[in-house]
Amino acid sequence: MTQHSSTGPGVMLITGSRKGIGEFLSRYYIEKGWQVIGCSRGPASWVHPRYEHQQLDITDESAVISLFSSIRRNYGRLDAALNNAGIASMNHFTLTPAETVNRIFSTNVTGTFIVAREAARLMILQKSGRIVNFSSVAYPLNLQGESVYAASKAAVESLTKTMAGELAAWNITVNAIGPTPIETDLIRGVPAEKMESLLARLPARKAGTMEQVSHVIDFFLSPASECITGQILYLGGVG
Amino acid sequence: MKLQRSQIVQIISGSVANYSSQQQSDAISEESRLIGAGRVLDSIGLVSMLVELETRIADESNLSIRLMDDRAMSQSKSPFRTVGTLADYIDSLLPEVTES
Repeated sequence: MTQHSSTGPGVMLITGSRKGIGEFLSRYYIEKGWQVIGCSRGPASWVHPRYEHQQLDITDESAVISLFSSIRRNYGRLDAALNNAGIASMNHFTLTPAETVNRIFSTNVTGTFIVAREAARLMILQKSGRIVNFSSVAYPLNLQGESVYAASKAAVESLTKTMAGELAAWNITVNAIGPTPIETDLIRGVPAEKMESLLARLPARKAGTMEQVSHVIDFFLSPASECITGQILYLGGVG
Repeated sequence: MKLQRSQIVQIISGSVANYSSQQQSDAISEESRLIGAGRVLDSIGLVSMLVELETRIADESNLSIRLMDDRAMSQSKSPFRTVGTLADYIDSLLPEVTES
């Protein structure tokens, strides 16, 4: 069983860890000494002695419950959960099928909810834990062409704030990061001129980096952040 | 192997004692109230107890159950009234559950 200290690395779950930001964060926290359990719909694309990959869809409730049963059996605790998995779809809302709405809300909202709920149940037993959800600047910027994605992130922010209140009694913090566009599969299909106009709306006027994301998460995970909960921290100067 | 009702009562009593001001499990009886007037747990204690209880039942029986579902919420009399009614409810759920 992995040893844990109140100030040092412990056991962390990262969803959507096969590639992109999730893979970056997994490798980053492994390097810092954490035991990382990752999951994604596809098989592991990389290996590490302190990385365990589980292939599952976070919208599959029973699969997520089984994942957390195995975390409890194998590691005995969960110190942090990063709800990174998410999907996007870019389209004018008048041209967006309801099926797209359901698909995006299923992964971004229901999936985030299920993972946070199961993480919180482990954390309640140990009376501590950190949950970090993923929002996006698409919501506060009311990004045109991203209506459904932005709405799903609005829901994630609402969940984050309510969960924070409901879990504070157990010393569990729940916060969210709102990244700016970062070069990943999620935005690879966005036309260049669309991206330029988006970046022009950011006070920082440039794309984000994965290092900025890990920097914010380090802040949320810090022992000194025990009373920082229910907060949404955007990158790019977005307020 | 299916847990006997007496074992279920014992598990519930232990979990309730962990979060109650009455710290001894032998001070918890089947009549101990979990909700409403005279309850032995506050709301935080009730949530903690239910989470721990589900975990302990999973450990003891290798079965995964969730106590707070639509079936529980739709009953005219809450199964969470007392230790005894909760034991009855869990006893009724166990034959239907699947391996965790």
